[in-house]
Amino acid sequence: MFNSKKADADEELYFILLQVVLVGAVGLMLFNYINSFKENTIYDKNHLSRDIALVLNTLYMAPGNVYYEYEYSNMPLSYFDFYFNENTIGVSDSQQRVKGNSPYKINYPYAANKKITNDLQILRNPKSVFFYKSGNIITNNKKISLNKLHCQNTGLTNRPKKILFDFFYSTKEEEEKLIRLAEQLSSYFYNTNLNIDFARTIEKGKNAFTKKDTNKYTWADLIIIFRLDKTQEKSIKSYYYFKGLESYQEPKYLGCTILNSVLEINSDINNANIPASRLHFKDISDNIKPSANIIEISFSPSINPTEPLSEAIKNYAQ
Amino acid sequence: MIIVSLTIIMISNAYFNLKIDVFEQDTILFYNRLFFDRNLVKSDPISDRIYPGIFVLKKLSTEDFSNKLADTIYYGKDNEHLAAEINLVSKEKHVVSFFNPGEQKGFQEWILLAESWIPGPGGASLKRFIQPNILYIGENSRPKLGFLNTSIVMRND
Repeated sequence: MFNSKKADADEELYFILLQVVLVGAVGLMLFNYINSFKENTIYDKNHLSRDIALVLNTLYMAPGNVYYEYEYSNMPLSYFDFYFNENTIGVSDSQQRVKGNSPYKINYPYAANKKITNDLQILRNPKSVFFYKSGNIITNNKKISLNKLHCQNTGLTNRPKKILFDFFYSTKEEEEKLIRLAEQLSSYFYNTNLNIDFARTIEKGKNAFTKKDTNKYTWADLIIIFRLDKTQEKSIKSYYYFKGLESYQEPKYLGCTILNSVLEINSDINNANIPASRLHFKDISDNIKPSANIIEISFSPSINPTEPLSEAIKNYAQ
Repeated sequence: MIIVSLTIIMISNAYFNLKIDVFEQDTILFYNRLFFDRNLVKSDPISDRIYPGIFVLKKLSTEDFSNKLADTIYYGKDNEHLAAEINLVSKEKHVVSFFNPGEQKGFQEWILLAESWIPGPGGASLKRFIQPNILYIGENSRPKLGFLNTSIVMRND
């Protein structure tokens, strides 16, 4: 076929066509590249991709919760689109995308952490670029509370179903304050499908608790005891005892969810001791042996922890 | 013409990459990140807190250290960006660990690129951090002083 003069001409024609196609493709690439160069954004895109990659490296490294708003003085950030892959950031011109051209993207890698959920979305001509890192998530498209703790879910399937509340007091004043607490707890847990009981009930007509029913300690899976702290402005102390559970993971998870629930309404510092201090606990109850799986949570006297505490326990136990 | 056009693109790209070089910052960030990483430093399982800068010899000498570190400092499945050699030197033990998929062999290939001093794409850059008086937890769980020597190689692409 290629021996005839006509075949020679055909062959040459094919090569010329191929060259034209290749030159056209390279020309288009070059045109796009020069276009972004002409508009002086290539330097900015390079700078932005590297700078934001360094910011992300720092955020992933930073312990605790962080909010960071990225600023760039050369040009408005709305001139660009930002593409976040699992470990790369790409920056391109938003104008090119709007015109229907395929934008020239400049990428740079950053060091992610597979144990932190990457919720970084594509930002198309954003007014601002911000990052939130809290617990085990990093995001750029929504606000998340920086007050939250990271609670490691243990995945325990048979959570405690029988919950007993008890109250420890030594003066009449403490008793009356704890009675109010008991009434609030009772109303929050009324009409739920949880098995909730109280080791002491409120005597009818009197502002006093009845005698403690120690048989109920045998019935319960999870025992929660309240007292008022004598030393620190009467903050409310609570103790959480998981019967039959030796590990500290589950109590720790419950304590964390309770603290998060309280932090939603008030960021005053409360504190948690895991395990509970034996010194604080030894006079609380003779039905419970101090052990590693008892947690102690104190609530600041400026807040009423009943509602968030009840919500957290309901969510935990259901 | 194609070759000329592509050459112009490559030279311009190399120029911009050289001008905006973040090698120093990138390596410093990686080095500092080692001081906060759970795969190297002491951590408390009960409170979930870490003790930055207090290294644990046992963690550094585990067999799958490189894979564990690559999960918490993740540059992608086929990391072509950064490799490191972490040396903890002490009277008790000398531990050498690597960060990159190819481990020692991969790191040494990258070191050859760095030592060739080729700037721009295709080459690599090397930075060493030497930190005396590093606190570490040894074999008998007692804290001791050691020496941390970290070599970080980054590709120039």
